[in-house]
Amino acid sequence: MVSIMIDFLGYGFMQKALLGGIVIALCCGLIGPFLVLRRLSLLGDGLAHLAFGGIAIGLLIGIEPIIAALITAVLGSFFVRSLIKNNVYGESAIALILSVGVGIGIVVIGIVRGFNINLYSYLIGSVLALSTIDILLAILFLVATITFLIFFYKDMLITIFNDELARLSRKRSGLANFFFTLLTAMAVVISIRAVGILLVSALLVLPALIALNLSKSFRQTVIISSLSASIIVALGIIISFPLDIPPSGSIVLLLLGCFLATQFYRKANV
Amino acid sequence: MSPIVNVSSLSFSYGSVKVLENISFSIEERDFLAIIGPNGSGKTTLIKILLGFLEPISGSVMLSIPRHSIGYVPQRYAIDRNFPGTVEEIFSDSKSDAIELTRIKDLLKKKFVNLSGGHQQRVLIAMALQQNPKLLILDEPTAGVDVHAQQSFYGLLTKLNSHGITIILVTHEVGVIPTLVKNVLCINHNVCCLGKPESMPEMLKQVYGPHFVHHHGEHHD
Repeated sequence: MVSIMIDFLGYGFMQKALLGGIVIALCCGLIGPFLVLRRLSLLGDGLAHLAFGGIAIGLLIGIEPIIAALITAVLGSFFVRSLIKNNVYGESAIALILSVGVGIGIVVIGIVRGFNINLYSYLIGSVLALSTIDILLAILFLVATITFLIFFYKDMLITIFNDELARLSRKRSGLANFFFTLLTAMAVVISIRAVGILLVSALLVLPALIALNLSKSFRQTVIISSLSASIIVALGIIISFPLDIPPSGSIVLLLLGCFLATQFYRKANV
Repeated sequence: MSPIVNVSSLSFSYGSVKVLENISFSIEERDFLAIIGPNGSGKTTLIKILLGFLEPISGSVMLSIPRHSIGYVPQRYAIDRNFPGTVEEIFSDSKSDAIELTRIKDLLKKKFVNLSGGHQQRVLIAMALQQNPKLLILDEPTAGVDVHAQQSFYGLLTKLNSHGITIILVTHEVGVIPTLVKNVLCINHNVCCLGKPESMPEMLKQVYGPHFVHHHGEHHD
């Protein structure tokens, strides 16, 4: 089995999958703790489903589906933000965009019968089909995420600690929230290529939960989240070959296994 | 002395529910003011308006200082119990004088959520003091804090006030008011009276109704 895995590592598409998967996992791992601690764990899921509607429209009118997904996800994330600001519950706002996205997708499928298979590939994703452009986009996004954290880490940390304190004492907290909203939408869209619309949440939320079980500080939470995400994604891709299972499924199951193990570890060490 | 806060004919409502109605008062510089009133009387809403988090539907709030010169100590229950950060991480400057003043140096490496209620309050006040505030607003800071930690906390507030910081303290602990504060503001929606701690029993009757009996250290809703 090990020799089969080593053989597969020699293939170009496998190397691309590993590189792309690790970069995407690093991005999601860096953003995840901020989403989870702000009680926005399901935002990724909502935006991914909204992006489904965007992809369907893109296929219908001939725009690159990922670009259409990015536009709808960005608009959706700012829409959720404005609803929350106007006293709509966060989970209700997310449920709203989630349903709208799926609704749009179903309507478009109803209008045009013929690209259902394409849409299906976005639902479950395929890290093995990542193109060079996908990987370059992911690297660009990783650079943007790291740059954001260098400039706004403290503002985001205080916002999580207490939003009112951040608004009063951190003059840039509004700007930090703006960029964070934008980055979340981008993280969702690049993750769709790797794990699919249905599993985006797992990549954003589970590494953060694993990190929260192990960390002794916020900085450790962010580091453990991004490292565990990238290691698990790489392992998930590698073991999917000899087991002949879709990589997105093996990634999510590995993430779940690690989360449960760290949960037991935390309980044992309380 | 000039007023640091001047509230004039202030009204606020959440939808159709009126919370504050035609409230007027002013607070002088270097005052130590307690705000008391029944649950749901509008105390927290009032301080959120002073802090600029809520906009009044009518009336005005005039501050003689910029809003970033206000230090705010939120209720410690407002902090997520899963917050993984250490005390050191939430400070802009871990060498700040506020850390010495509030005696929290030994707590810097610990997770905030693992601290006792009294220590959490000291950390929150140290965070507020980092900005060198002219006005310090505290929202029920001693809720769930043991008596010993409360005494030490009130001592710290008195010291800060003697250093020239104006303090607004929202509290349910009416028993400590006579020995702690300089003035008391009693509010209940459209009733608002400001006076010295000695006149608190009369003010409480106005706010709670004529049948209110004030026992030392207790608070009746």
